[in-house]
Amino acid sequence: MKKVILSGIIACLLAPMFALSWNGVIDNTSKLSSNDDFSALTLDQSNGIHLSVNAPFNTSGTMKFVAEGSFKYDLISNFEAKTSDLKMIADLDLFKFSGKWNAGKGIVTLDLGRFLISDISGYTFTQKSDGLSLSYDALKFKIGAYAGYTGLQNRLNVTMLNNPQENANFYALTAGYVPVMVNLTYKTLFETHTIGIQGEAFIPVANIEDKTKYAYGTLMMNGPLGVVGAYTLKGTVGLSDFKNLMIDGGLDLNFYLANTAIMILGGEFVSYESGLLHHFTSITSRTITTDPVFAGGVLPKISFIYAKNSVLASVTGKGVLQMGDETKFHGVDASANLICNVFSDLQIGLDLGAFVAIDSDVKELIKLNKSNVYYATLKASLAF
Amino acid sequence: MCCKIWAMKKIISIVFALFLVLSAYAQSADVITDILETEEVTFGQVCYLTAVQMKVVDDSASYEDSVTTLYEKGYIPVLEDYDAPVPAVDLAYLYSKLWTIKGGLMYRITKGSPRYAFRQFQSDGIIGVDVDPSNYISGEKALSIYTSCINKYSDFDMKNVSMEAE
Repeated sequence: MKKVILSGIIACLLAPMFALSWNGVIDNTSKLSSNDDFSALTLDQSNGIHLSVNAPFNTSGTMKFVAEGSFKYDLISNFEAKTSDLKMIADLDLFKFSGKWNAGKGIVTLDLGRFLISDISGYTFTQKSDGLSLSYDALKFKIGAYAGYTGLQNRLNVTMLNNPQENANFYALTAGYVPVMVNLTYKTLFETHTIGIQGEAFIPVANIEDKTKYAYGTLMMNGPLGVVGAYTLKGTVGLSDFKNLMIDGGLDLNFYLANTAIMILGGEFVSYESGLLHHFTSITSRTITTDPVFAGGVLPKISFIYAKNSVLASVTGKGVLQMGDETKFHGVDASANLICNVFSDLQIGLDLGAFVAIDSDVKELIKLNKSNVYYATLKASLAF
Repeated sequence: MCCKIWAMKKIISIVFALFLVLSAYAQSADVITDILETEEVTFGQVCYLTAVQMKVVDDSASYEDSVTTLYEKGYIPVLEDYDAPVPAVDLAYLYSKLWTIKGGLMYRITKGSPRYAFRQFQSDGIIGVDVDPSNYISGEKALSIYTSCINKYSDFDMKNVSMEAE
């Protein structure tokens, strides 16, 4: 009887699907990392396949089901230690029912299932999560809410705070937080500017030894700088266990140099251990700098981005100013990225990066720990 | 009101462009009017546009003759019902036969199969990414896609003649 009911439910769910289309991507990532004197080289080689399906429930495509699964291997070879570590990773990257409905002068969007979710600053939580997102997007404002659970993700694919450390293959559960997010964006401040606020809470539920709760409040503004460029200003104040204060904030000024080039001047402040202030902790792991000993401070940066036809190139220089008991200029973080669409379905990318330490103590620590300060990554992907 | 004016301009622009492209054919005017009024464009209508431009039929051919001719000449693998609605994937495939398209790697490997012709059109911005390959589309949309193809794949520059320009 149960089988009959279950079959009926599945049939009801599938019957309205108008069609099922699929897509696939195969990719390659080869990352070579090294310490300061190139004595400890590491090669991280990964190849994967991603398959996705898209099943609209109506002809206009406003209600649909989308899913994506992936399988890849990750082989890390340490040439100095002459060791290698092979991991097989299987994941369900996307499993989402979504719908859009007109309501008044806006659109209601509902997403249910597993999908990528990001806070408005990108500082705290940008990862896959299982949950429900509901938003209303009107001409002048957008309001949204999200609630979910992170603990069913694959930690071999999702790097987040307090993930268990045991070795695993294929699929291993992540730290289980319940994220709750609400946000409001006003899109016509001074006609052309946008201002947004967001509140977030992360409650540890399962698969976590550290039961610290986290809460964040974010303010974000962006808009044009006349006709010469645009700006983005964002700041996040966080509390761990409702008592320890953390701050992350940044400003980016984009200047249009030509039709094909942009210069970005900006900087980010990350709070550090000092009195009431604590080092900023995000829920999703985030690489702010390749400086291996950075623990809060200021990172001024300059970037140039060039895009023409099928090529996108960028170079970034970032200063690393450590603050705390004493203020030290650790060094310069430099990176260059190139993406080339050889064909519309074949993309090749190259990332180069280096942290050039200037402070003598930092140099010493890097040498002692054989920390990686140089990397080169070659990426390729083919959609089929 | 603004939307209505915009829609009207768009229709006029499509008709104008198609008249320029198919101006040599007397019956084309009736066909374009017929297609514009169609809620779901048919194999016959799309095959007519394709076959006339390929010059494998003359403009007095019927929709049925157009489908049969394209089938007999091997441009379509199945003899489709000329009155059946055409899915977006087949529309893209038929249109892709009209111009030389520098497609992606998979498009080249499969020699322009329907699946990759459709995806190439999406990649080139001719068909929206939210359109499913199986979607049936209106006559107006089919002609709009046709004019986008002219802009993208031929030397004909719509901006120089379109009433929408500026």
